[in-house]
Amino acid sequence: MSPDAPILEVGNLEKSFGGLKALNGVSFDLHPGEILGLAGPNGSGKTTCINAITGVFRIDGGSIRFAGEDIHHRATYRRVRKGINRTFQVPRPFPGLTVHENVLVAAHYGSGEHADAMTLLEDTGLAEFADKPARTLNSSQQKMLGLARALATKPRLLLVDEIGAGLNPEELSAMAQRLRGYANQGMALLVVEHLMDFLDQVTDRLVVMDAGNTLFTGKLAQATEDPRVIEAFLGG
Amino acid sequence: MLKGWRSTAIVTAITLVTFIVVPKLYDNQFLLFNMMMYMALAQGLNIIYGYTGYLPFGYVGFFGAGAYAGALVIIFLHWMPLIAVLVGGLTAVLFGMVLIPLFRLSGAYFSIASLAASEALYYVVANPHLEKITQGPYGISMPQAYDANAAYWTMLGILALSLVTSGIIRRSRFGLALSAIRENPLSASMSGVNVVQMRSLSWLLSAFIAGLAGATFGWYISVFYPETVFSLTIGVFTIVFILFGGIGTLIGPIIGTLILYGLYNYIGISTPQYFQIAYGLLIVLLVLFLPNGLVSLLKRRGVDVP
Repeated sequence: MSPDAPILEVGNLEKSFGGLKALNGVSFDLHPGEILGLAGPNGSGKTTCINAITGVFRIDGGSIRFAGEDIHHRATYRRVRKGINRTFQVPRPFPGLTVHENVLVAAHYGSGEHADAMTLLEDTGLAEFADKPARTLNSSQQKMLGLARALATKPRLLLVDEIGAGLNPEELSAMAQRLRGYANQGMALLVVEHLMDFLDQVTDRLVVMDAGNTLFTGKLAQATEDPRVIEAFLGG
Repeated sequence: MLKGWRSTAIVTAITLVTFIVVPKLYDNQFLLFNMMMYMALAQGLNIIYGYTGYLPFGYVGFFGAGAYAGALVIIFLHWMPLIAVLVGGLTAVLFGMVLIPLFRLSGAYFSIASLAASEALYYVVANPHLEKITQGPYGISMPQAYDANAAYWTMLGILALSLVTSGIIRRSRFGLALSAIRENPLSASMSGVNVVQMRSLSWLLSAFIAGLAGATFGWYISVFYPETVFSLTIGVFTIVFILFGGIGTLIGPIIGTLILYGLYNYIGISTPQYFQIAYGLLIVLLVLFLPNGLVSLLKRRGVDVP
């Protein structure tokens, strides 16, 4: 793989749930160190796209290549060990395990090189809760725990699902800075977000989805002036 | 979770020493044998239910499979009882492998399906048409193998194995992964845990212990019927004992078995009607006030329960 080759290439993704086509030919690619925004109205297929890339379910058609390898048949845990991870829109901690154990599982099993769980907890501001059960954290702390757990697997590609929801403007800026920091270290990020201001702080390249289709790919500034994007968001 | 090896070793040692010393002071060996058997079964069930959250109502199926496989190799192949015990364990593992697809089900569906599988095996074994192989409903008789003392010490070995296995799992990375699966299987996958493999491994370990215990039980009594070793009572007792003591701990199933099986022997055999009332009352109180078992009383006080 050449250094400027994309780390993730998604081509014509298709996925149906019964009669509903949740993904209908979505394509994009992502390079190491790049942050790509993924926007679209509710139900447009953004989270489905993340689920497809992480192997939560199998796609009906299309291709997913990671670091040059077709991974669409791989089980989730194998994709994680290869270097893909995500955060969840609604956090999914291990509620009965301690905060430290939550990250420790991922540090042990997520990749060959073991991450230091405590360092990650310090980095995400959760060190003081290390011995508390994860269920005692509030929802934004649980989001940070989800991020720490994903980082513990040393991902080369991180899919971030609406991490900005519920954060105040200062917290949003800090989060944007944090994500840019990861990208500066060479990590590729796909950031699913409703909040255009937040996306504006982390990236200038955007994919807009609507009803399972790629509606727009390009500069964020152009997207806000594109009549199709405006129609999709505002309903015409 | 990765600390506390010492308390695990102490609990294991005390339990084993008790069953070495008590026969010298108390002559009801069968009661002690059964108590060890239930403790081993409870630890075996703990490995699948306590750590991964899957509750097999048909756990006794492994016990029965082990009892029959052990007996058949003694009767037909004239193998040593100790080897037969091992065959019993491995046969239960084989039965467990056949049942791995049950993990596609969750919650009560899994529990009921495992019960159906156990009952299916019971009906196969008890089938009169298989009389030449399994002796059908007429049961097993192998007086030539009877050796209660040897079976007693073998059961002690199985208890030791179950305690050490359960203790190691609880304090290991494997146990951490199983706990993660119990808490949230999708998040466990996203942490790099091979959920299918880990869950299957704990299932087979759990089956192995029940199979060993079943074969040793068959050896101890040496005459038994299909309904003796596939009895739902064995499965229900085991489940209640670990719920009463506290699932997911080493000491919980030991305490649960000690108290409830002790109570069963104290009043359950002579006056079963009172036993049923006392048992029912205990279970109601448990569900209402101590859903996580007796050991949760210690946990609430911040004790790191082994």
